[in-house]
Amino acid sequence: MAFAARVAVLRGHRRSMTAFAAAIARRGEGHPHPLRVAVFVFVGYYLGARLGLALTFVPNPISVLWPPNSVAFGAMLLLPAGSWWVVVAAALPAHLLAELQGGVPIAMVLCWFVSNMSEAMIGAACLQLLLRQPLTFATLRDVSAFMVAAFVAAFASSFLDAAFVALNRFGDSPYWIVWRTRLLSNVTAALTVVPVIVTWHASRRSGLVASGRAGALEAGALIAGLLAVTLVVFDSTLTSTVTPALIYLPLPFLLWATLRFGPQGASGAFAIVATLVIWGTGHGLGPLGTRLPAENAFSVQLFLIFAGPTLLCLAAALEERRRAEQSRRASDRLFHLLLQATNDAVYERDLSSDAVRFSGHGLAPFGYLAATTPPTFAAFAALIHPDDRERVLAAHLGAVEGGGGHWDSEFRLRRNDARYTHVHEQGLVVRERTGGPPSQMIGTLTDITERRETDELSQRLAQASRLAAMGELTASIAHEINQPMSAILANVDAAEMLLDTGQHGSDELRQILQDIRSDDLRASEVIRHIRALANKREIAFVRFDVNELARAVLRLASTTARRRGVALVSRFATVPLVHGDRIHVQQILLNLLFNGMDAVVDMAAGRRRLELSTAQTERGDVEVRIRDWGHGIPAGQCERIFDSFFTTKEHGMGLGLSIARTLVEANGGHITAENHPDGGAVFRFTLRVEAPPAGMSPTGRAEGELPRSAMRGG
Amino acid sequence: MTSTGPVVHVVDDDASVRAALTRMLRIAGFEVRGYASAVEFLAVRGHAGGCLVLDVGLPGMSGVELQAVLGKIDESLPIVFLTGRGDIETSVGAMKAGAVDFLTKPVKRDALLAAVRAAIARDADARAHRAELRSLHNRFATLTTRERQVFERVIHGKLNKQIADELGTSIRTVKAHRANVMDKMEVGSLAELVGVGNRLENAAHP
Repeated sequence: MAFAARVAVLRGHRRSMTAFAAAIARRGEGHPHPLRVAVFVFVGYYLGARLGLALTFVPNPISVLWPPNSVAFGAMLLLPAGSWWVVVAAALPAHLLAELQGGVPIAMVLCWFVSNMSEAMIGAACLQLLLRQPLTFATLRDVSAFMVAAFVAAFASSFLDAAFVALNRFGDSPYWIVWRTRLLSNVTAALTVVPVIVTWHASRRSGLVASGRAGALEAGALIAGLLAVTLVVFDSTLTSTVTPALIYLPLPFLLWATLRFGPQGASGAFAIVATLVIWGTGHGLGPLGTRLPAENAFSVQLFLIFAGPTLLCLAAALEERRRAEQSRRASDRLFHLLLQATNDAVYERDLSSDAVRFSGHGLAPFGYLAATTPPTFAAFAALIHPDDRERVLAAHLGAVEGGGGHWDSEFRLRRNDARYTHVHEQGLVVRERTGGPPSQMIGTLTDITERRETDELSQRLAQASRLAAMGELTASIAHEINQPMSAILANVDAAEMLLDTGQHGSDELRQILQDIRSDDLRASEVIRHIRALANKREIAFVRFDVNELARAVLRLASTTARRRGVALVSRFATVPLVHGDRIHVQQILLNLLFNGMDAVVDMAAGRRRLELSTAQTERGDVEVRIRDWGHGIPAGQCERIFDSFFTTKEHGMGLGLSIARTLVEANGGHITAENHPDGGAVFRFTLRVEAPPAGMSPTGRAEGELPRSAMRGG
Repeated sequence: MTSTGPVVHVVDDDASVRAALTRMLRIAGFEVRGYASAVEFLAVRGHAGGCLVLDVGLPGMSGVELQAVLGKIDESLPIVFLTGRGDIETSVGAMKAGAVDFLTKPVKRDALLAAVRAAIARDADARAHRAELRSLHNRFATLTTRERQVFERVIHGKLNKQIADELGTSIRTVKAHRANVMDKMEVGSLAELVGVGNRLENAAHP
């Protein structure tokens, strides 16, 4: 038996050891070592209880300020819920030690322990429920959650506590008086003690708000001043007869602590004041100690309950602002670093005053110093090359008025040394609220002189190789057709001469006709063969981002647009990937853009612009829209303009739009044209988001076979 | 036309073009022979006089290359080039190398016939010229060494006395040689003899 008992004890011991090890292991980032917490709880609880007992004034069995519960509450906040038993285990001996000295019956002592621990656990659980993250007192949300938790815990546990007092017939106070006294006492204690524990624990990890020699000196001066004022006001006979208004004297020091030392300073200073006020008032000193002890206690509690949270809220609000400021500074810094890294210039244009403000290094990449940087948009516009200016301003205007909000243009900008440099400008119109009037425009300027040179070179090369290939092809076609044509001509000449001589045989003529026929057939065979060759390319359906493709096409068209003085504006919505042939869609866009340029090229500067936009339709397809500000489509011809060889232009072949329609339909979409109520025409075509049925495109044509007009090119 | 008359040689790789051109030229009154390639033309030796109607873009040896090869042969035929494309560089090169004309396909009848006639005429001239030169050479070959020495000096404008001194003989002997030379070379005057001498010299050092 003795042996079995020993084993059981050992097992129990081992179990508790394992649990303790688990508690240590559970200690995540930021959780203190449970052993350390246990020691803290034991000492804190004991001293708190002694202080509470010292502040208990007859005839009430309840103290004015009862800190032990809050020590346990605060300690639990530092640990994960699974380790709260460490706090309970450490508090029990301290509780017994403190209470039994006071001669309280053992039953009452144990009952109190139960109600005390219930309060700590309710409070800690409540906070976990409300915050789901560690309490820091750095945000207003933290502070309000803490106030709710502290109140709920004291409120609920006080019913239990008052009931225990009544059951044990301890003291003479009625149930509700005990309940009220304990509620106020414990709320006061929670507001005083828990913030100190939490913020001072946090400062062990992140350091004091104000550190260094100056910080320490300041803290010393603050504490000295606070102690002096509080002692004089609340703990001496000097002020007992003076007006109660003196209770505000410590306020400047409390504010000082809050403003300069954050939540930590606020909670620390408040704890000092609370202790001194309670002690002084309990001894009948100070402006609050002029009545019966119970009434005095009530005044003190109310005073502290209102002062504490106010300071904590103030500290949290300041902390929130400080952090916001910090993150703003960090992002500003990042922004400046980015600017320096890219060597771009970024400006904001205020649309009401027309003032322009450059960020970071300003226009330094273009040789301007702060003094020479244009202060208004008009002055900035004067730096744009005269040939480009109208077009750029039209793009800006388009972004503001068209509701698109974005613009993208390339132009020449005069550097401070009077040379012109090519820049790429991308911009954004800022509105205070969605759909509201524009208030600001933000633009970035990138020096693209170098990029343009390489671009132009590669474009020229591409053009040259295209032309060369075209030349090859035409030459070979010409040769293939020329041969039978030569033979036919020679045969016709021969026949004619034969007839002229008058001595012809019908056999010879018949032979000649036969040869002509076979050469004619041969020529048409050549043409048929070429067509078959051109149709050979298979449609390659892939999923792609039409916005990205459109951007590339806009870049491709930008050179021509610039040369023709047409501003290209884009407005891309977030759209799903579409299904189609990239080369087809590229060709469609180019055809529509060039068509649009033809439409606006003779217009006044403000109307020489095109807007390309994307959107998702109600059916889920993606719609691409190209709007121009030209003369519009002649009445009744919105359908006909897609026909082959129909043209309203002087030099047009009438193929661009026809090809566009063929390609759109081959990709399973449809294309429409209409006039815009504000002038100009709008072309829309859709692209499918879903893949068309395999093997057959929706128009019924087999994949890979294009109608004749498609192969003629733009 | 008889078989000994001029012949138009048509070199074109395209059978139907070749047949049609041949037919047309034949009806126009020329004797015509067709060849499918430059090599096929070169394989036939001893072409009768006439001209060559040559396609520039022949496979294998091109028309221009054939022209270069023929340029090295003495009795080459005048060439009328036909081309599918109006390639200025090639045409300039061909004309500099002695082509009669450079016509683009489909070629107009009158242009082709005119060019062929011009080519044949040029060939006839060249042949007459060559025949004359040949007979001069033949006559020159009958001269003795002494007669050639006298002939050489006469056409360089030397007087009988000078020639006699140089050759170490008498004026009379020189006069006799001179008369023989005039006889053998079939000329009646000193001026004629000088002309014949120059032609022979030019033919020897072109």
